[in-house]
Amino acid sequence: MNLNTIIEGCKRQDSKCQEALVKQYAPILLRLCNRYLYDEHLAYDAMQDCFINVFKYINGYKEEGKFEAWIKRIAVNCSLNVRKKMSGSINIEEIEYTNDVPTFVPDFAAKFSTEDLLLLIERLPKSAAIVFNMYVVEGYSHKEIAEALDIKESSSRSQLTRARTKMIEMINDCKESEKIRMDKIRIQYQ
Amino acid sequence: MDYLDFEKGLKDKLSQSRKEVDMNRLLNDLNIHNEKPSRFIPGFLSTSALLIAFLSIAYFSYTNYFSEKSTSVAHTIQANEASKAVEIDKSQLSIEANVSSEASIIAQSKKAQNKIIEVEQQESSQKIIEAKTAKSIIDQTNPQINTNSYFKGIGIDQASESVLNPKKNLNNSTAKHFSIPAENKIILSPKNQTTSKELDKSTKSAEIIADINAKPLETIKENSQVWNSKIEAIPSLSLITLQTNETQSASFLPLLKDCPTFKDRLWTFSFIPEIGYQWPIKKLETDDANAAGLLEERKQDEITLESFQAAAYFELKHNSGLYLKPGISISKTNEQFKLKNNITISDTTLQLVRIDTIIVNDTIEITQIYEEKISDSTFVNTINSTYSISQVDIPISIGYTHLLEGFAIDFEIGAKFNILTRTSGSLYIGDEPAFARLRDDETYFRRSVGLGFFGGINIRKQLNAFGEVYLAPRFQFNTKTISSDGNAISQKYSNFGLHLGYVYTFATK
Repeated sequence: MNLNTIIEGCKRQDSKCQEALVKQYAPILLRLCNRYLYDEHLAYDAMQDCFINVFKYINGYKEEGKFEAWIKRIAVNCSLNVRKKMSGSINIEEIEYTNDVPTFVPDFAAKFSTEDLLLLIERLPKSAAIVFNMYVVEGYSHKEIAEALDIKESSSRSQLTRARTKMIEMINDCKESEKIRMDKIRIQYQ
Repeated sequence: MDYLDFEKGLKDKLSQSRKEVDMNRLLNDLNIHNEKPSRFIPGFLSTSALLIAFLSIAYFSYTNYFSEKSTSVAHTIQANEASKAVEIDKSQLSIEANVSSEASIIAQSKKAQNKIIEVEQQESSQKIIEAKTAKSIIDQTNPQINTNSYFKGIGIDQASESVLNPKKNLNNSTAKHFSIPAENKIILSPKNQTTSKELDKSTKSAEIIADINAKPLETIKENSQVWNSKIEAIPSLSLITLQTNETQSASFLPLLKDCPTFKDRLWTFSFIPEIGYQWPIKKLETDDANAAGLLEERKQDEITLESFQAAAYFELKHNSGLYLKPGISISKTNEQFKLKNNITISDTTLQLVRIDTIIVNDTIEITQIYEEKISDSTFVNTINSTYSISQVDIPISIGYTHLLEGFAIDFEIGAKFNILTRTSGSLYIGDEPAFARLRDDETYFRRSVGLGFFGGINIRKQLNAFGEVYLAPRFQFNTKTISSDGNAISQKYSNFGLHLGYVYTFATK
């Protein structure tokens, strides 16, 4: 069953197509939600809200953009809503961060696994991590981030600069030998 | 490395990274109930169970029918086809007994004859007691049996009389050419037929004596040994054995090798345990362009180690050679992936680059100049990871047995329904981490593969009346892939197997 068939079936509320859609995107969306919430249960709730909204609004989906991007945007919104519900607001600090970001990182950074990268993002300050995720991974513009988080565009830029600076610091702190050793251990204990 | 390149790589990795989801829970939470409870598996199982139960009942009813028929013949004095057959057997016995006695007379002296008569008198007394005891037992245990007619048939009154008047008995016995005692003779023929039977036997006896006289002495001696062994067996059997107890009479029946066989069965029922070694033919495919690299890696580095199978079948075979064979089968297939990692380790050492010698006055100053040398050592680390696929199937097949000289060949086709598939071990997924631990869910593999088909031949060799062994090359294939929908790589199996089985038949043909 290809994606267009699934989408058309979901528009008809065909449960078989809905199931296929859930099976295809649930693992991706759960990972995405987890990047914003750092809690498996909250991430699961956000993913569930996302699918409910997808089935509710799928008739409004115009096949202009990529479906995956559309569904991911819904997942990001649901994650931010869950975060808002939990803490009252998303609470992005309005800061001015003007440090110059170094433009180079060690070559071994290219060898980082997905788990390593998630760990690095998790260690970023929460506000900076949200902006970093939205800008770098999901491809939002600063304007879109500002609208979604209800902050100024300049704050979004500052948070991104802060995230990048911190990220590079953390990468530089890693040693290649340690990275290799960690990989070896990870493979052996899988 | 440029930082923006790092971010690009980060985006590529994270945007497609996945996390395991409990699909059943999620689908339930979302109220998506597409998968209707499958009625096929329980339906198939219960149908198979019912079929096996029905065949078992039919088989035992069939065998009991003939056993009861032969028993009822002994119990019923009414003339019918079956009783006639039994009467013929018994008449033959009686005649053999007479002939045996007559042969003994020819072979032995008059003194020996008198001794035989004495022994017979003693045994006849015992038989009367046994007969009376048997009558009382039957009266107590089964009042429906008409013991009056039954025991009239065996002539208790006559026997009693012979005990009260041994001389008369002796005279009777003597008058009948020293044949078996009166009660033994009566056992073998109903009372209402005694006269005609006796006449008939006398006529036959006379014919046999004439025949014996015509034969050479050695032949008579040989035959007399056989006859003696048979006639010795008759007094050792009690009345209850001969006429009421099926199991004990069964032990007597093998002695009667010339008895006609009327158990020519239409169906036979067999139990077949089987083991097999299979050579799986694995097919890996993908429609996902992102998984093309992973597919190539798995095709190149994943090998099937071995596959074993064990099964048990019930076979219902018609005497025309056609048979039906349902059963249950379990199998286990092991796969191995060899992951080769190139690990580069950099060692920094000091290397002597230059030695400078300076002479100042009379002093020589030697300066050694070292510099760091970085050498890279590359190691290949091979990780062997295995996973296994265990399956439980319900096979059902039909076949035809073609008999040849010394052996037989079965041509067989069938279908199998996979009711359970379990995987364990680590599967190579190409991502980081490289291996995923297989759990009891449908993240990578299905829990049931569904329908498959198989066909092959069984080369059978008879071992004894009940047992056969066979060697069976067999090909089987599944209609569905074993991979779950969430697995980008589709994995499908066919098998060529060599199976060894033993056929235990519950009833001989």
